[in-house]
Amino acid sequence: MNGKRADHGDQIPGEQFDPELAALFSEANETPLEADAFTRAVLRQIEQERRRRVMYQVGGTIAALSAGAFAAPFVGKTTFDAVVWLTQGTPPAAAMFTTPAAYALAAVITWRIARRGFR
Amino acid sequence: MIRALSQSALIGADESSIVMCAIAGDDNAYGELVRRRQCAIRQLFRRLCRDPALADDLAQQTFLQAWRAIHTVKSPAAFGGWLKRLAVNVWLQRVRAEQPWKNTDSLDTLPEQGTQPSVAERLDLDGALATLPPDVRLCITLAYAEHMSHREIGEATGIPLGTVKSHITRGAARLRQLLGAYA
Repeated sequence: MNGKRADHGDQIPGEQFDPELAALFSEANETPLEADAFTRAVLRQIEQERRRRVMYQVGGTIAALSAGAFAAPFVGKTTFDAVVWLTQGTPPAAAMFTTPAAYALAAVITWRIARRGFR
Repeated sequence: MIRALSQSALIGADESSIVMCAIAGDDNAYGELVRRRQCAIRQLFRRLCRDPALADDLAQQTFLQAWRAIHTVKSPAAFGGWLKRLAVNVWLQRVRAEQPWKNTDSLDTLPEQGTQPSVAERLDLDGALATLPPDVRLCITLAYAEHMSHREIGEATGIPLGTVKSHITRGAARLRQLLGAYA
């Protein structure tokens, strides 16, 4: 589309082009149109669209916050129950780190990190 | 970071800089682009639909869509072509929404060449254009008013190249006949 032909003389091979018809079109194309009112109308529509977007964003945020507030008690209670179940159902976390197996694992990890660091 | 240009700087600035500012969200820059391109886009629609009010509505739709999608412009220098393609799409959507049952590609809808044109049609290029089926009118307008090659028209409209060629050949022949060999 950017291959605009300045005049119709430099015709692309294989494309039929009627020079007289082209002249008629270029004569008819010369009518200037009033720009300001049109530009103002377009900018007004853009402003409306921008306002509509802000309204949708505000509406969406309010809806998300309302849904969050509505669901918060249920989510909080379920999370609390899950944490209670996990802490009561498994051995204390600190005890896991004081077993011989944990010391061995920590030593292996330290050795690997140190090797990588010295390379 | 692109710095917004003042109103006076916008008027003298080259289009690529203005496009960059518009992509960065500067509405004044976009307004300047509308000011510079409105005439070509409105003329294109006027030629296609022959109704100034409808043409201006379609041009406004085009500029609104362009504003929404301006961040997709790959190169600022390509803005003009990109906008024209958008205008062609707006027109095609309009035509296909209006006449979904009609195959607008069909050359069968082209009036017979033996038909005598009216006096008004003889005098008026736009009137003669209006007698052509929408896709033929579109191809002729893009070729003769917008100086696009057949390949570019095919790419912009999605019409196969062979069909573009035949639309232009038959459409031009019909126009020649309607305009009384430009008498």
